[in-house]
Amino acid sequence: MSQSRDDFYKQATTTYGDALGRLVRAYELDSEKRRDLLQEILLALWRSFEKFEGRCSLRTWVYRIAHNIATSHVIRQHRANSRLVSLEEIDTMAQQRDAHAADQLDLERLLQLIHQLNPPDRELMLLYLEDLDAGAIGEIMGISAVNVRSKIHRIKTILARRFHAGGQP
Amino acid sequence: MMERTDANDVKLIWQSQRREHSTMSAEELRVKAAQIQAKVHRNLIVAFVLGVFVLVFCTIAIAELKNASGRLVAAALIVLTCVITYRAYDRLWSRPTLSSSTALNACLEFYRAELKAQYRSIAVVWRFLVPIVLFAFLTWNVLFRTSHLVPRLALPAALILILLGRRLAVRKYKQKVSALDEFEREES
Repeated sequence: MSQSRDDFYKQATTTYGDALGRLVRAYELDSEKRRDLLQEILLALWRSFEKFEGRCSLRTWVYRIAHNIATSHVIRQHRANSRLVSLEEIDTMAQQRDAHAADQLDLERLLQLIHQLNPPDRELMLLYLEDLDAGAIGEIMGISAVNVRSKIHRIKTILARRFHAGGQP
Repeated sequence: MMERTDANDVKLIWQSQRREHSTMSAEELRVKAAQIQAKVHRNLIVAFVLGVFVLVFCTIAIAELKNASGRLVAAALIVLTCVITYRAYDRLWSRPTLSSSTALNACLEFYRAELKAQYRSIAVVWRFLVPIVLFAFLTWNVLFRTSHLVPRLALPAALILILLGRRLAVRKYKQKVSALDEFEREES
């Protein structure tokens, strides 16, 4: 492999820079902390490229590191003050949400939904929203594509319930 | 607000977010990585200097002390200090390496190793400071024939400060590690 660490880093930020920006938005509410988190992810990526040998795709490598750094960040931040839920629980909560949800912008509602999810389900939801297929998501998360497909089905149901009727139950 | 939105539209909403922060250049990252590394190096240098200081202190104690037990304690401390100082010196020159399966191990190993390296560089300083203060407290009157107030007040205060600092550093490290453990549990 002739590419250097800097080359991989440049390629990763050019291709996945926007996705990383969206990822940190899904993991951190505060704008300043988001910048710190993005820097932490970029630093980890840059350092990790020293050992990148192409045994997995660049996309898998980037998303794995980014999600894991972001997840350890969110666990540190949220462990004391909020409870994170699974896709199953959030599906039930979707039916009980208040009428104010209808007045929020779609993106805000989507972010609110994502911020309530526990780390593995959040990672899956984000990768789905980034338009990755079940195989790629499974490779990044280390779970089977069948498992991913069933979770994606649930995500679609939740998104349809939340967004189909403009936020009405 | 959209009245009807299907899953693909939600993906579009998500992907059309504008970029909030710019990514860092490789040069900026190199500087940041160097800053972190410099901090670790600084702590190791302090530890090394303290180690040398303890060695000198113990040698003086062996030469000055009259009783055999005091000399024995000082000699034992010299052996212990030599080991810790050598480790600090060794880490000072060792290049941090990453596992080839960094990303495949979900990056946690890499992150944990990074935290451990930072913690160790601080911990080694405490390891030297505590015996220095204790040793100074026990042998003050023999080594320096001055007022009793200095060892009675200043040294316990210094020891308390050192232990408090150590406690804070350990707590901070444990919080980060337990967050990683929690994440690993959730992932599995």
